[in-house]
Amino acid sequence: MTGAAGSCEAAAGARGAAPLDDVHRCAAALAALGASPSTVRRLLSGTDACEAWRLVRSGRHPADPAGRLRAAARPGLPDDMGDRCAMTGTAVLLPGEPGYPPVLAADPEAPAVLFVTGAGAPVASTPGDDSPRIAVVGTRAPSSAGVRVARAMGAGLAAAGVSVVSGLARGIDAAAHDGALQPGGAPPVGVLGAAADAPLAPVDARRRASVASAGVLLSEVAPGTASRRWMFAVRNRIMAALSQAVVVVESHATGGSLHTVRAAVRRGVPVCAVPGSVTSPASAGTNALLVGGVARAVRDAGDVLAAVVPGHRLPGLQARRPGAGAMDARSRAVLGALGGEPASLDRVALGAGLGLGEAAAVLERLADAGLASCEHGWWTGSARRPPR
Amino acid sequence: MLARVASASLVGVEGRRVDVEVHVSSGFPGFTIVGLPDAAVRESRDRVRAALLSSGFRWPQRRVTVNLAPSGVRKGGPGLDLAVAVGVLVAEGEVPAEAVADTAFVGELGLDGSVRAVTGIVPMLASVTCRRVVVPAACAAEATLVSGDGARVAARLDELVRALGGSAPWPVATGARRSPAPERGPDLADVRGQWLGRRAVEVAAAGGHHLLLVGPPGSGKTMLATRLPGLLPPLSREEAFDVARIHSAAGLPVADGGLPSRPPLRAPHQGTTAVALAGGGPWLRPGEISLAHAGVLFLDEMGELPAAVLDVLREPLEEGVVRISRARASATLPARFLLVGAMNPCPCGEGVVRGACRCTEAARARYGRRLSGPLLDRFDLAVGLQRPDPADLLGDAPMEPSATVAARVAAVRLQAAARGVVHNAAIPVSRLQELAPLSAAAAALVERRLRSGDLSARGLHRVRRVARTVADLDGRHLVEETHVAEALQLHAARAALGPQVVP
Ligand SMILES: [Zn+2]
Repeated sequence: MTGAAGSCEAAAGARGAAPLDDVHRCAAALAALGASPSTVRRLLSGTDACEAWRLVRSGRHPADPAGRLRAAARPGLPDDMGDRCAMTGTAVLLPGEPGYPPVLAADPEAPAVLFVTGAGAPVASTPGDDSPRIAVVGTRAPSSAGVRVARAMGAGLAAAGVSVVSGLARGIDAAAHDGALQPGGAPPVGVLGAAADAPLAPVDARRRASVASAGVLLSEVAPGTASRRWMFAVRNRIMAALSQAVVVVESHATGGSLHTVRAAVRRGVPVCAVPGSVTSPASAGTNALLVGGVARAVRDAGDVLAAVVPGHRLPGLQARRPGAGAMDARSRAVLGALGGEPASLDRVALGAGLGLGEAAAVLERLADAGLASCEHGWWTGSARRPPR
Repeated sequence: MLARVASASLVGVEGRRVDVEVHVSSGFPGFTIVGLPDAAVRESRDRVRAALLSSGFRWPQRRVTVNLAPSGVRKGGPGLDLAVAVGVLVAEGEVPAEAVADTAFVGELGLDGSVRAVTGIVPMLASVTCRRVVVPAACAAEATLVSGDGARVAARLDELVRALGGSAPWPVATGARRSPAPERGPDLADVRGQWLGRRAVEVAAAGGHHLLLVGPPGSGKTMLATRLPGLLPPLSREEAFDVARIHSAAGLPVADGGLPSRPPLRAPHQGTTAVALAGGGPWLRPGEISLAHAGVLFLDEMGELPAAVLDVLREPLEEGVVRISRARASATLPARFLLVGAMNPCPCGEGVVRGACRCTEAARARYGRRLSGPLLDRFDLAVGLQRPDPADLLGDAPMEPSATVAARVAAVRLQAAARGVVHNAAIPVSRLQELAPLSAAAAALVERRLRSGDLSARGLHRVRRVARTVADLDGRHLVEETHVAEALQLHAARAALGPQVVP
């Protein structure tokens, strides 16, 4: 399953068919060791997967000098992965291979091994990688209004030919895909935080199967691997990297969708949010994004398309990033004072020409909006910031 | 023939009046001291006898019994020598009994008849109510502090006897009665750059908040800590007397010419022991934490101190006192201080954030665990410092001097007193709502941090107290968002010390 993986048949064709070659069996095995995405990336950087596997097995891989992964790297694992991928109809793709989305491969945090399950073309088909994809995400505990809006959003985007990217979680994610799963709609993309064959409640499993058969499931978690909490958080970057915009329908003040927003802001991907009642906890996070000037307000798919993909074409998108106008002068000054290097509060305040307290208050707000982050009192800006 | 002479002994930092009764009776010659004397007091027999003989007096060829009253209390130290000798001389008729009436004697005798200095003059004299006190010449300043015009000094026993008998004038107590010299420590104006660090010491001084400074070597931790006493309000009369009493009991020199006004700074070195910190020894001498009472205790390289040493801090931080005990004595010593801790962010000192750290993850984690959670919780302020920017060091922009900052601090302290608390760090949880009301935006920020888990319930109280101080410095009654944000930032370095931080 290598060179031929350039199209939808690649993934679909994997179903019980073409066995994996050694390189991909070893790559899948390395991904199945339970290591973090960045570790897997280091394991595979600059080395052939077979060689990397051999080094990990011997405990002498430079990315795992302590040999911590050695215990999990049992000799039969590559063959088991081969069988398992064949059984579940899962393709194993490495960055740069046909079928691996180029925009994702170009991401600094690209999955080193991507497991692709399903029939759909949206990820694998277009060489130019400009088929429109928009992530629709939100809380697992939405209001009933939120569910209606998400379903309509998914349906509207799919009908307009935009693939709906979502995390297949319950609540908003599920509603968006339910809306997108309509005859004639653009194929949906499910980005999983777990293995494609992880056990699910029947209703969730049915939806996953529907998305797989109408579109495609992506995961960096190897089939048969147990789910861990962190996997759900790290997959948010894949959604952000893959999409031309991220729409948050409803989010609580500290919801997990804000991870996706942060990942999007870091990549310069525009963020939209559906405004909600100021008294609704389920809209606290989305409203904060709007107030903070991070997200653009949208009511439905039409607003989203008007805002971020005029004419459904991608160019022009960058110029219309939201946020720039919404931010006040002090926020701009503080953002300007934040560099790539971590800076202490007094340095930021000095650079922004503000008092310590003022600068601290602005920084806290920027942190809430995902535009700045603080570690032990050291502040950094996000990778990309709205233009000043 | 019975003589009675007033004196005093010392336990911890408390003086105790002791009445020395000397009875000289016919019988087989001997010298006995009764009334729970300790070893040093028993040795006083030999010193007193030798001192008398070398001063040209006869030793009674009769039975001498000395009783130390009250008899139920242990008495220690050599400070009773002088009273015993004077008592013998009164009993022998060498000194008229009227001459020692309403007079207390405290001092150690040398074999040659010299009167030697003892520690604890201030608390000892505070415990006697005599109109006149006689102390070693070297203790003149301390004695004047307590007894004023009633202080007399003696350098030698024979000289003392002549003065008591009226055949010679009293020696002049040197060094007494001068107006206090202005005490000046290092000035905050010397600290260039370091705005966050300067602000942290200001907030610490204003609110009485314990402060932890985290930064690499050379980031000015010591420089900032040593300037903190200069920002605190001058000692009240009561505090000043406590400080004088404690320092006297520890045998530290007391400044000439009056009570101290500048809060003390104690910076025990890194090799300090639990006893040196808490106090102890046979007579329960005060340790560093009591010497820092009403002032600042600066613990540098806190992460390097053994757990047993750090454990000493627990009780004083909670109760403002330290209890120490020895085999047959115990004492409660005052120990209410502002704690300034300093540590490196990690063993190599560079810290992870700027990417220069050379430590292994395990070593960093171990280092972060050196200070226990409960101890870390005592720090309302935890601030990260960096080495100053060369541009700041070379710049000639004038930095704010200590006096200006101290004026703001004093105003905040007054405000706290008006609220009925010692300082803002002592605002009880039950009164936070009333004394530190939050604006809507400030409450919203706090709520966001509580929801995100960045702030615990305990942390909330801390943030409100610090924000109260920041708002006071800003001259506001209502605590605003900027005050809360600053309070949060003034604690941000806590997270550098390992993940076990939030209790
Ligand atoms: Zn280090």
